[in-house]
Amino acid sequence: MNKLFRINYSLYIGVIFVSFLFFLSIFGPYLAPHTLTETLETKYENGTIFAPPLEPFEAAEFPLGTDKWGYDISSMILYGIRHTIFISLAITLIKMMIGTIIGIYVGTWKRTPSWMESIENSWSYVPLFLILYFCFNSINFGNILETSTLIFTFIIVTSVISMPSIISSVRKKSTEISKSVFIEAARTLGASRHRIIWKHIFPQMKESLLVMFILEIVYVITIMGQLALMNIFIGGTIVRYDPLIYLSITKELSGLVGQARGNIYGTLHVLVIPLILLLFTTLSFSLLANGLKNRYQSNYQRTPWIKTGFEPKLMPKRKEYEKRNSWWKFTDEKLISVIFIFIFIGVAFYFYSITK
Amino acid sequence: MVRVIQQTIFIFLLILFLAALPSVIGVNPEEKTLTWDFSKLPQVYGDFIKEISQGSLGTYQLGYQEREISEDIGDNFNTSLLIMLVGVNIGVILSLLFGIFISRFRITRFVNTLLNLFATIPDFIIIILSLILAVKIYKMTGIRIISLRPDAGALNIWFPMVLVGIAPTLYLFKLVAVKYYQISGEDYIRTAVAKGMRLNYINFQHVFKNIEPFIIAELTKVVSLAIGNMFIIEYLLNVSGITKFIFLSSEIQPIAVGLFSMLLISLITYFSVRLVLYLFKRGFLYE
Repeated sequence: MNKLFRINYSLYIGVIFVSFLFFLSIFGPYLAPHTLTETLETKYENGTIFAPPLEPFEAAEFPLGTDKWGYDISSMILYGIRHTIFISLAITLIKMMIGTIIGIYVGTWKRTPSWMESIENSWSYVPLFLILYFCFNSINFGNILETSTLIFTFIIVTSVISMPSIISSVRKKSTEISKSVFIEAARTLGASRHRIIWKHIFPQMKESLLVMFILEIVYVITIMGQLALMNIFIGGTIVRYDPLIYLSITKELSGLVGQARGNIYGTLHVLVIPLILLLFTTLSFSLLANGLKNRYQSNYQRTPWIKTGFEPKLMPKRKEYEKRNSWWKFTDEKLISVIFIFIFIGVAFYFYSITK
Repeated sequence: MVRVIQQTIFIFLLILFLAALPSVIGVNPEEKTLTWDFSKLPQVYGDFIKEISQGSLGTYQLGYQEREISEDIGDNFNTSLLIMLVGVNIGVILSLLFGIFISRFRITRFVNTLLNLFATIPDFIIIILSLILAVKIYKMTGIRIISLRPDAGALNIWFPMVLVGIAPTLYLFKLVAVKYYQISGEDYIRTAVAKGMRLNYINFQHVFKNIEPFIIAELTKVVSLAIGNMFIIEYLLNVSGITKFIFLSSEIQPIAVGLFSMLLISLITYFSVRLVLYLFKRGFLYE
């Protein structure tokens, strides 16, 4: 029984969910039962009327139902999910790479310049989605700009404005590590700054950087959702007058939630289904991060002396030096580098497909 | 002191830049390209400074009506301030309570798992879900627990307070839980245990004192999280707070005034939390 409690469930469930999401985001458009422009024609079959808005699980052709104009919700989700996943991945990749490099180098300086700290502090006061709101409020509506231009602008602006917080947290960790004794020893032995950073400091932080990477994905999705509530959908907003409605061009998940906001009083499923999908997306990334954190925590934490109520149940996984290294041996690092290669390929493929 | 002045200057510049952003960025409809028009900046800022120096805050658009900002700002400011003060303070107190002082009991462990679960859900999803829930409850029982009318008094304002409080609670709780676990492995805790001190005593005198600096360091982040959620909550729940000036217009005057009042609100909230922590220390801790 104890053994069952000690399985790191959130890691395994997270890995499975995230790979499912990747699968959906790569093959989604091929799996979709309808195109984005097909609508449900009202029809009368075996004594029942099929008319939009169709509830979920009523008709086999429209598995998740339709919205009130008859567009299939499951197709919209399958077409849109790749935008959500790959845009957030691209932003996170850019900001984490640049932020880590800057932060880690600044952290080894003798003292941090005070202007840098004050920029970081004042930047952390302003909510990021507000900056994006002001940025996109005048350009996002009425499809004047190309969708790909809007997506690229969003990716670049978001990665730049969320970089200060990454730099600040990496810098603090790097400063803390560079005070350790082993760094001093390396310096005494004549190691150059780059060697100290990449051979001594970076290996110490790579685990927390990985957890941070995954949590930042969730954070980007949150920002996209907040913008969507203000009718700013990533990739452009179509505005229809009389009655005034806002529609997402890319059908990206948070955009679907945002455009279905008015359905809260009546046809609830149009709002709830994309919301559940969005929740599933963020939850699977959070689970993955949580699982990794659990594992690292059980490996490196000291045991508390008092009862805290937060004791991890996992057993630490130790490095086994005695075992012979054969090339197919499964390790975390290999798994993670494979995942990163997949992410790179996926993002590149996505960029190729939207610019085409 | 130099750093404080530097920070103030940066925040001022940032707010002015943000407020001017809508008039700088635009699209060129013929070429379908983004345009950055910095030539308008001097004029925009000139107008802003002229308006302020004349002693008026300027006007904003409310529907087709043009109203003085200074007439309306008092009430809106108070509403937002009240929501923020109550929300953030509740958040800090709850997270400390569940994170440190009662976290070891079996019943609160259940609450802790619940909090951990909620912490994985983004705040805006929690906000939408709670709205759906409120509508459902009204449909099923006929009890109106929230009201979207700005003049509904307490019905309009209690729900925003709770929703604003959610994000600080979850964020601080996660932080406090990690720090508590780390600190309880330190040597001075072992010394205290070896001396035969009670667990409550250790929690107050040893653990809390060492967690407090981390909380204070994260306090700006917490307040900014709450501010970010407040924008969405006021927008979705139709609370007439300070964000009305920011979302209803694209001119510099109301946006800048709104953002500066937001800054003031977050400063007041920050110092109120510091006051609460100070009072707690004076009341319970042996200095």
